[in-house]
Amino acid sequence: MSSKMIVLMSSDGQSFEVEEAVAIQSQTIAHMVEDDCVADGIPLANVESKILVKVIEYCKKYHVDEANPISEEDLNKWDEKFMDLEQSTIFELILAANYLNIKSLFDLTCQTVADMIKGKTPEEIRSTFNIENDFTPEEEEAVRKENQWAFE
Amino acid sequence: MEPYGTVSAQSQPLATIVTRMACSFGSPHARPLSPKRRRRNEKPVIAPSSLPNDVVEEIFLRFPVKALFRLKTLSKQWRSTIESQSFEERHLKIAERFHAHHPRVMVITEKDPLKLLPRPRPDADIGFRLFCLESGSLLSFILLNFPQSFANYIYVSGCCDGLFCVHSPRSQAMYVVNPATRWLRQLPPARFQILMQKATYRDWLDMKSVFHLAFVKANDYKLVWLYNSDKYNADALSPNEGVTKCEVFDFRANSWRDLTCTPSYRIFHGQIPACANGSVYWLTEPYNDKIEVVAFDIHAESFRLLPKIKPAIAGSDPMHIDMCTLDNGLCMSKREPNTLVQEIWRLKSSEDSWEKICTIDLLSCSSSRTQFRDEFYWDKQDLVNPSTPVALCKNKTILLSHRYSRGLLKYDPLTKSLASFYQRPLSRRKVSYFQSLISHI
Repeated sequence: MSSKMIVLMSSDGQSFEVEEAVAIQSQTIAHMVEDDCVADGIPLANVESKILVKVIEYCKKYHVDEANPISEEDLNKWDEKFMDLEQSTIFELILAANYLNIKSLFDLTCQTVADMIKGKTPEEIRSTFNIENDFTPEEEEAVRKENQWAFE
Repeated sequence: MEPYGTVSAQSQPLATIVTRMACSFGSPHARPLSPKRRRRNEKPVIAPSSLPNDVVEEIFLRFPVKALFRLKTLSKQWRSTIESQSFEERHLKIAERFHAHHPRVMVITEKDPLKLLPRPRPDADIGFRLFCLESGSLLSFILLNFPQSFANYIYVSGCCDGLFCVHSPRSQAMYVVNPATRWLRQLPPARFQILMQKATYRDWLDMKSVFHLAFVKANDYKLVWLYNSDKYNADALSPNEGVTKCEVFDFRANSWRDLTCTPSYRIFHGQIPACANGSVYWLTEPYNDKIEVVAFDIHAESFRLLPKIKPAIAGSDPMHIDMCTLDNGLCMSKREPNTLVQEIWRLKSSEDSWEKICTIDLLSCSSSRTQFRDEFYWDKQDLVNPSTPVALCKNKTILLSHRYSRGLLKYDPLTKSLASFYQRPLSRRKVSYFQSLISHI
C-alpha cells in the first residue's frame, strides 16, 4: 500500500519527500494539505535544510505505528539523544517547531532550553536574550531583596 | 556533535530567523526579510537574541518556580509578565503536564527535629520536603513560619494547584500556603473553630471530630469542611441543625458560608476526605452494619451517596478501610483482619463499578519486619489500620503511608518486598504534589 507523499522544500533549496501522514503532525502543513495547495511541494522559507532534516526525523519517530508501538520510556530516551545538540541548533529547532506548529516538538525544545539555562544568573540570561535592564540599581536591589530566598 | 554550519570561502547571505512570517507558498522566490552577511572564517550562529518575545516567554514558562523568581530582576516588563495571572495559569498547565512524567511527593512535617535550638521551636514552623517519586531523592526542603501557631493540632489538606490549606481546629489558625513561592494568606476561622473554643482540655483528649477539610477548585478555589453536629460545635443561635454541618470557604468573599442541605449520615472521623474527578468523598459511620460513601459535587455543591461500594468494604469496620486518590481516581482499600492482606479498588469514572488495582501483603514481605519498625508500627492495634497508598510508581510499585506511621515505604506487589523511601518523625501529610506560581487567590 503506497502512502501519499508530499515534498517539503527548505529555505536553501533542498527538497525532501515525506509521507503526508508524517508531515501533517505540523499543523501548518496540515492546513495547507486541507487547502489543497501542496501539489508543487511546500516551500518552507523559514527552515534551513539542516534543521528540516531534524524536524522530519522527529516527526517520523512520533508517527504512531499501530504495528510497532513504542513505550513512553523508550520515547523519552530517544528524545534525550535527539536533543543532544548545540544550543544554537536547539534555538533554530524551537523556531522551526513554532513556525511549523508542531506542539510536541515545541514543548520538547523549549523544555530542553529551559533546563539548560535555568541555573544561570539574571545577568547571563539578559545577555543571552538581549534583554535590556530598565531597573535602576536601587530598584533592582529592592526586587532582589524581596525575593532573597530565590538567590540562595 | 555536528557543528552547525560550515565555513565556506564564499560569503553567502545567511537567513536570519525573524518574527513569525506568513508561509510563502505560491511565491517560491520569497526572500527572508533581513539577510545577514557571514564573514570569512566566522561560524554562523543564530543568536538567541533574535528569538521573538513570545518564544522566550514559552521557555521561561518551563522554568521551575525558584528560577522564575530570579528572573523578576531581569527587567520591569519581565517582572510584570511573570507576576501576571495569565502567566501563572499557563505555567500551572505546563507544570501539571510535567508532573505526569516527573511525579513528586511532598511530605509536610511540624518542625525540623535535626535543628537543635537553645529554646524549643514554636509549633508555628512547618517543613515542606519535596521528593522525586521515582528516585526517592530529596529535591528541596522549605521551612515556613506561620504567624499564628497551631496548638499542636496541625491539619494539612491535599495539594490543590500547588497550594495547601493548613489549619488548626484548636487555635483557629487557618492558612493557604504555596510552599514553592513562600506565599501564604491567613483566612478567617470557620464557625467550627470558633465554636470549638468552648471545649475543655479534657474534651480535646477524648474528642473524635472530623478535623480534616478538602481544598478544591471548581471555577474558583474552595475549602469544604463537612463535620458531625455534636455538643462541641452546637450553636445556641441555630438549635435545629441536622446530623452534619458543612462550611464552604469562598475566597473571593473572604468568608465561610453554611450549606443548607447536608448528609443525614454521620461522617467517620478517622478518614481524610478524598478528592477526585470533580468530587470530594467521605466515609460514613456504619448504619445497620453498613458504611456509605458520601460524595460532594464541587461545582453544584450538592451531596449524594455513591450508588455502589464493594459489599466486602461496605460491611466492614471503618477502621479497616482506607479511601484515597490515585491518578485522579477514587480508591478504596480494605485490610482483612485475619490475613492482614489489603486489597485496593479503584472507582471507574462512571461511578458504577470498581476494578482491583493492587493487593498488599505486608506480612509476607521478604524484608525484615524490624527493619521498618520506625516507619510502620507493628503493634496489633496499628496493624488493623490499612496502609494508605500515596502514589503509583512507573514500575508498578506503590508508595505507602500509614495512619500512625512516620515515613513512607515503597511496596512491590510482584516481589512482595518493601523499600524505605523516607523516614522522619511527625509527618503530618504525604501527598502527590506539583509546584505552581499561584499566589493570588
